[in-house]
Amino acid sequence: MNLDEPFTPSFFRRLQQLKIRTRRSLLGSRQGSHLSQRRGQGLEFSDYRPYTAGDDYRHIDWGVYGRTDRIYVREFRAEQDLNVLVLLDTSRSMAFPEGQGKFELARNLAVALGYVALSDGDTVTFGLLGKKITPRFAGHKALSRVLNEFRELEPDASFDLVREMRAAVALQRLPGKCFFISDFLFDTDLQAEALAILRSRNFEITVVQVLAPGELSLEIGAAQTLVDAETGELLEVSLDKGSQKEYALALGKHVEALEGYCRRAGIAHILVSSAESLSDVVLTRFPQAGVLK
Amino acid sequence: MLSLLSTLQLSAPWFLAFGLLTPLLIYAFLKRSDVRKRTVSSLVVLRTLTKRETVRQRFKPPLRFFLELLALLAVCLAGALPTLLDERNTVAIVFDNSLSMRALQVNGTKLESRFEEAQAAAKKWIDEQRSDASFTVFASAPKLIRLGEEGVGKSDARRMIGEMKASWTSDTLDSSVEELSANGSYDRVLVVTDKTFEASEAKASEGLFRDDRGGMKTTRISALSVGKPKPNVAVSRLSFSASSLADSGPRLRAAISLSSATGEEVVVSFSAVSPDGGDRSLGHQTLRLNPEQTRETEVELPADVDPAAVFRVSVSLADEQRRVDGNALLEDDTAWLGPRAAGSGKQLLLVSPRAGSAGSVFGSAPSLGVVEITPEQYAAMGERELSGYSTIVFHRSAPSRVPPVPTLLVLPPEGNPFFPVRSEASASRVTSWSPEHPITSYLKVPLLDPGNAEVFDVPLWAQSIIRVDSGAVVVAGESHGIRFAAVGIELLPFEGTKTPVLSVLTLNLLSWLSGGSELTGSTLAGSALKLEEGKRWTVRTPQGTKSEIRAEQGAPPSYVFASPGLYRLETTGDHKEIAVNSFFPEESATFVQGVFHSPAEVEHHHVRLEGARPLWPPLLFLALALLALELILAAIPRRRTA
Repeated sequence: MNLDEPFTPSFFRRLQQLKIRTRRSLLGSRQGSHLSQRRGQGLEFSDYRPYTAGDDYRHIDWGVYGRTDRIYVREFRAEQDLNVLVLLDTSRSMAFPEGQGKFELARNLAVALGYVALSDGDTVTFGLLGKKITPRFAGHKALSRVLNEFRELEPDASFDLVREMRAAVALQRLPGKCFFISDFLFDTDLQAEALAILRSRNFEITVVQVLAPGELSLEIGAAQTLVDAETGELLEVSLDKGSQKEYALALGKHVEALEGYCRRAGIAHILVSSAESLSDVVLTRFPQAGVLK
Repeated sequence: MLSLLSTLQLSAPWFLAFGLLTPLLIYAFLKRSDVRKRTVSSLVVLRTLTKRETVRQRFKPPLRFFLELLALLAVCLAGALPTLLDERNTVAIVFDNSLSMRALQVNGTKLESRFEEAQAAAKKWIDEQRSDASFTVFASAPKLIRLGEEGVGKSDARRMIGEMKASWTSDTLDSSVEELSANGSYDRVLVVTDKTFEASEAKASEGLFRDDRGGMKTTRISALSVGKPKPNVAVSRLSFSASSLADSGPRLRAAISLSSATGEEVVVSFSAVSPDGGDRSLGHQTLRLNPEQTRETEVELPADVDPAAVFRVSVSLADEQRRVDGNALLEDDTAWLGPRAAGSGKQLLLVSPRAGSAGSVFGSAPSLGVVEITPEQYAAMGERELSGYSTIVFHRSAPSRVPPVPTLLVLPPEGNPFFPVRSEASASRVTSWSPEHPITSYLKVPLLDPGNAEVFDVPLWAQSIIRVDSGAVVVAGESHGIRFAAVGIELLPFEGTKTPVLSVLTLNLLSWLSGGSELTGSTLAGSALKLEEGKRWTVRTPQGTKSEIRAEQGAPPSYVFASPGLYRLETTGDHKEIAVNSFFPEESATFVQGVFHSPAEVEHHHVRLEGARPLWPPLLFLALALLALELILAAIPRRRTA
């Protein structure tokens, strides 16, 4: 699928109506639309405090003065931008099964989340794991530059997940919202370690696990040699009808392991099939999951 | 299956080497079947599945693989240009019916001839052959003659052999076997003979087909040898001695041969038989012969003996009790000699570009007149005129058409149509000769110094008589009832010295060419006599039968003297007494088993394969059909089994 295909003007208009939801206040660096724990001069009334020299006269609440003959200034809760980090897995595993659009959906989700953030005044950085960390984008005019980053992107990287994760967060000075989009077919311990790195930087993490229909149910003929797309490891298998059930159990166990970790770690986990459309996932699934509002 | 393979011929067998591509096919199949080698995003989950199987166990070639393999093999075989020769099992049986086969022997309790023993052995052999075998039966004496039809079944072959008669002549076994094995028409050649078979190395020949039933690759020659060594005494030569031409003291000379391991005493009886039937004894003589010895004896002819009488000489063992055990052949115990005047009136025609070539060579031949002409004069002569001569000798020349009488070519030019000249040999030496041939009788061949000689290619109808290093220098044969001989040595030396050996060779040649009758008053059994055209001839045989000689259409009348004895040929106003003898020393030597030589196998590499079936078109079609089927199977989606 062409990158531009799902991103029609009408889709963009709908994305503009969305906002990334956060469960807690996250410190941003710019005035944005997200409530910050910092007190300052944002738009939302927070509290009164006695006037001290130097306070802005516009913030004196003359009503309170009339009632109390005391001069108080209104204190507002500062609204700051959200620092959004979108991590996209560009490893070779994202290219398989071939023809089932797993990477395309993951890529489009990353772009869509980035656009939501940008249109909401947030900043967004894309961590293309195995390839590069993009500069921080801000403002909806940055979309074209965002699209350029993704336009020629191919899932052909091979990387050490933990090392890439450290590199991705190393440039993030402030915590924020992190979307980690991958198939999460890593070794369980490895992905836990990677998520722990994100947690250590105080990100509010949402894990979006994208799997293809061929992965969700076993679509392999009898007597084959399977090759791991990333490691090249060979596995000779001879499968029968019972193998499907066995696989379903094994996959469920793997996904449950990730879900369990996420649950314990306070990480949101969403499992998405690449058979679903981008608009369904972004406009329906994400809001239902509390990722967007 | 084996018989099918034996009839399969590959014109380009090297193409089969492409079958070595089979491992590549297997490799390609394995690579291709690694569509079953599938890349997945991760083995994290799949690794936990319990079933495992090795690739080797998984390699169960599907139908498509075998279709491709068969197609490859079909293409390889088609490329080798296979031809399926019509399966044949053709046998040529060459039956030796020469004089020696008449030798009597005791087999068990019965007295039978070698010929009868051979007939029984041949019939038994025929019975042992496959039912699809076809037989062609030949008799080898006096020359190769086919009996009955070609390719008959077992019963007909047995019948032909049963009806065959032994002859009184020598055989042509070597040349007969060579001729039959070389023409490529027969799978096998069986020689039934009293000789032993000495097989030489297989040889290749140019085989051409005479029929449309396809070709053979190899002809195998084998032999059924019969007979045991048996002693025999024979009259081997009979002639008038030189003084018989003088006015007084004519003598009758006989040569007696003994083939035995022990010496024998023999009695030689001389007789004169008048035309009116009167039989006059001329005397008896007793000779003592050592083993394998020939001795001459003679009697003086009485002055009052009938000039028209024919003479008879008979030999028998002095010990009457040994007359059966010690004398295997009776047919050669009696010899005849025609009237002394038999040779007169006939002349020899000498054609030579060199005048005066006759010299004294031909003058030494008794009762032989010589007429000398040039080749140009010969060309102007008609056939009737030529028929009036007993023999024609071409010296350093050759006729353009077949002469009507026996012909000798002395140093013929290259390119002559009778005996092609292969090469010229200088300082040549005699290496071998045919001792049994009359041309070499009484000839001390080792003393012959060919010097610079012409070497001939021997035609199929002739045989080599005397050979030097590079080939035959004396060849002889009979064609259409006429004898021909060629000599690559100068016989008419008018510059050098005349040697006795050359003289004897010349006389032997002339004697053999004319059948001896013109020089010696007798001819050999099996020889033919050409008669004057336009006359009606009758013949009275030694057995007393009388019959008319019928000429074949387009051919002059001739008569073949099958058996020895005295023949009388009559026509209006003329008659001839012809004495016929079985003077075949090699046949009479029944104590010494003869040998015939032949390759055991003759391969035919240039065979015109009429009737053979090329197999490459159906094989190629099969390969294409297999590939088409494979493509169809490949297009059918594979069923997922998991």
